Parts: sequence; C-alpha cells; structure tokens
Amino acid sequence: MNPMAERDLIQQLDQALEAMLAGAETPVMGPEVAALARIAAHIRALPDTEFRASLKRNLMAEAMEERKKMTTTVKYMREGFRTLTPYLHASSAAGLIDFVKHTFGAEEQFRVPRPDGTVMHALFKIGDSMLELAEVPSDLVGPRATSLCAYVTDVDAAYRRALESGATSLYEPVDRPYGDREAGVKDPAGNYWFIARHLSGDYKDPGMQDIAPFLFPRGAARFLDFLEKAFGAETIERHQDAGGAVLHASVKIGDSILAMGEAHGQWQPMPGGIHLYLPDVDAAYRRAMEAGAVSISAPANQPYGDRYAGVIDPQGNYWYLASQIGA
Amino acid sequence: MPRGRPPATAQELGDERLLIEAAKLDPRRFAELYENYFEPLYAYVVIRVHDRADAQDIVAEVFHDALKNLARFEWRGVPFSAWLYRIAANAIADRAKRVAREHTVNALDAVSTDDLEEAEERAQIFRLVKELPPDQSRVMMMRFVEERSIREIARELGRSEGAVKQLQFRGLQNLRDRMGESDG
Repeated sequence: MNPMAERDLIQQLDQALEAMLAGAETPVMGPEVAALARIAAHIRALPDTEFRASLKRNLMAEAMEERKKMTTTVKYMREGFRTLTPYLHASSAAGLIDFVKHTFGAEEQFRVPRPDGTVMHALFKIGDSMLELAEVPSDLVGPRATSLCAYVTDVDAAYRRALESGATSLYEPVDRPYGDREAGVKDPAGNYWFIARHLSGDYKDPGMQDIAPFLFPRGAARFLDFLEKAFGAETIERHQDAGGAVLHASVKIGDSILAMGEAHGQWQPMPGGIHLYLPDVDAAYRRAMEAGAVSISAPANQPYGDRYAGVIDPQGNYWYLASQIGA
Repeated sequence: MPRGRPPATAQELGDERLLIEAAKLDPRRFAELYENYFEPLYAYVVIRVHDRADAQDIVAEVFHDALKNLARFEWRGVPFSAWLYRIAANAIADRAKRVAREHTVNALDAVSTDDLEEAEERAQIFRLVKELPPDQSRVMMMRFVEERSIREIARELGRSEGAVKQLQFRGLQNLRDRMGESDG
C-alpha cells in the first residue's frame, strides 16, 4: 500500500472509531475499515485489568481460607471418626463384642490381639459413629464400665436384641414426656446403654451422633465448666432444678454431642474412656491440665501416625486426645 | 458445524482434569483455572450483560461459586468451561428476573451456541491484545477500554497524534492478521 493510501485509511479508521466511541452514527466504511472497527468494538468489552487482578486476589484469599479449613478440620481426624468416640474397657471382651454386633449391627473394622489372645484394641462402626474397646485385667487401675446413649430407629427391637445377646434390663421401653421412646440395658461388661429415638420426626436430632457418651457426673455444673475450659465444649442444652443442680445437659465438642445428668439414685458416676480428635492436642492437653485434669501421658507422636496425650478429668473419665499427623 | 475455537483435544481435557483434581486437593491451585478461564468467561458474560459493572459482578459471582463448589464438580468429560458458562447463565437469568421481571429478553438461562462462539472470538481478541507489541497494546487499552481521546493518549505517551493514530491502525491490523492465523 502506498503511503498516501495508508494515511487515508488511517484517517478513515479514526473517524469511524471516533463515531463509535461517541455513540454517533458511523460513517460509511470500506470493508477493511469495517473489519478493524469490528475488532475495536470487541476490545471495548475488554475486562478492566484492575478488576481482573483484584478478583484474583479475593479468590486467592478465599482459597487460603479453604485450605486452612481443609487442613485443620478434616485431616486431623481419622477417616470415619467423629470428634468423640466412646472407648469401652472390659475384663472380658467376647460378650461385649457379641452384644454390640447383635444389638446395634456394629461392624468390626479391625481388632489387634495381644500375644495372649486378649483384645488390645478393637474398632467398630455403628451407624454414623465409631466405638472402640479394649480388654483390661480387672485388677488394673483404669476406666471401667461406663454409660452411653444409642439412637436407633426401633427401640423395642434393639431392646429385644440386647436381652438376647446377654444384656440385662435396666428399664423396658417407655415413652418419655420429653418426646423420646427409650429403654435401658446393662451389657455383659456392665456398661449402661440408653437406647432411644424421638417419638415423632427423625429418630434423633440433626447433629446428634448414633452412639454418644452419656455421663452421670457428681457436680455436673463444675463438669460443664471443665469441658468448656479444657475442650472448648459449647453448652447446647441445660436444665436445672430450683437449687441450681443440672438435671440434664448436653454439650457440643467439635462435631459431636456429649450428654449428661447429675448423678442421683440408681444413676451414679460411671467414668469411662473417651477418644477425642482435635486439631491441637498440645493446646487441649495444656488447657485440660489448667482446668484440673490429671495427666496420663504428655503429648507425643505415636508410631501409628497420631499425636496423642491422655488426661483424667476431675470426674475420673479417661480422655484420649488425638490428632492425626501421619496423613 | 460450530465455528470459533476448535474443540478441546484429549490432551487438553486430560490436563484440565488433572488441574481440577489438584485444585480440589489444594484450593490455591484454583489460580491456574482462573487464569485459563477468566477471558472466555468474561467475554461470554459481557455479551449477555452489556453493562460493565454488572458483568464484573456476575463474573466475580461465578468464580466465587466455582471455587466454593469445586469439590462438587464431577468429571464426566464435559469441559470445566461448560460448567462455568452454566453457572454464569443461571446467575444472569437470576439477575434479570430480580432487576426487571417484565423484561425477559436475553434472560434465557440456556447457554446458546451463538453466544459461545462470539465469546470465544472475543476471548481470543482479549488474549491477542496482550501479545501485541507493547506500544500498540497500550494504545488499544487506552483508546478502547479507557475510552481516551487521541489527543490525551498522544500527550501521555509523548507522541504526535499522527503517530498514535498509526499505532491504533497497526494494532487493529495486527489483531486481524493474528486472528486469521489462529483460525487457520
């Protein structure tokens, strides 16, 4: 193209673009100018560079938060576990294992025997929860039979199966004024189980796990205070009598619920073992000790890939604090 | 026969899949998805929503949604971009319904092939503008995005008005030629 013709074209193009940018009627254009003006029209819709960069910054900040959540709330717990898992101790495990399998359809995940054949550790899945147990000699100082609640869809059937598998009745299925049908049994190892479901609606509250500790502390108010200080427990339900004694309370720790009622009459403290997964074992151990717990074992990494510490709370419950580190 | 960008190759889809899996495990890798899809998505949205501020709101909404819901994105051989367009189409439809219930024009929540083709073409121009020689690219941005006059640009760049007009011409010509090349 000769320089004159090009200069002409540049001028024509500029006039067309001026008109386009001003929103005025575009002059008659040759095909070349029209093609270039069409590209210019596309460029007008280009994203703002600052917008592109600032949206990316915002997304990355959000991604960092997501990542933090992923590493702190998911991975510290072993697959399938919840924050709280009851850990039962029995001098003989055989009857207890039959009981949980037959009554609740517990699925055995694994079992680690000692050289003498006794069960060092066994893990079961019951509905949305885990249950652990170990055989311990009866003369060893440690946690003993404890009390738990189990939410099931059919209380009467579970109660019947419990008795078939060697449990004894604490009380038969009954409708409670607080809206639950429930029954009580004592399993072959002496643990108390409160088997329940809501009378209407879903069989349990959302957020409630199928198997949960149900404790009878002496001085439940003090115990609630301990749980809050040591493990960040959040009270979600608390009923007191006129004298301030806690008749019934439940707290949320992580993704799980722990329920309790002040020890009275037939229902006396049965401190047991509780396996607690949390993101920071060292901090929880320190807070538990400050709140009056006794140490069983200071935080240390275990060969199976958990950081672990053990404490006994002022009620005598054994807490196994753990955080998965090996993943 | 759809025009515009050729369909993604198996290699590209495989790479995309790996990138999505990586971002699911580490959300910081979402940055790479953002880099790959910002232009086409923006181009698509701006065709449907003519106002720049609205388009920016929707694009931001789509990427935030995509990041939040990435874990739910399941690979079934459909490109990630199709998922983004789908979120965008829904967001545009929602907005249109909110803003003016009586106006349903262009508020259909379907992703139309024509829109996608135009969006692809535009996204290609967005990418090519960045690859132009720096002075041409600068003039393109100042003139058509910031909508500044030839005189203002000349003053800022310390060039004559004639030189700026020539850069404007060369830049557009370059883009037209490069588009022809990548189409071929």
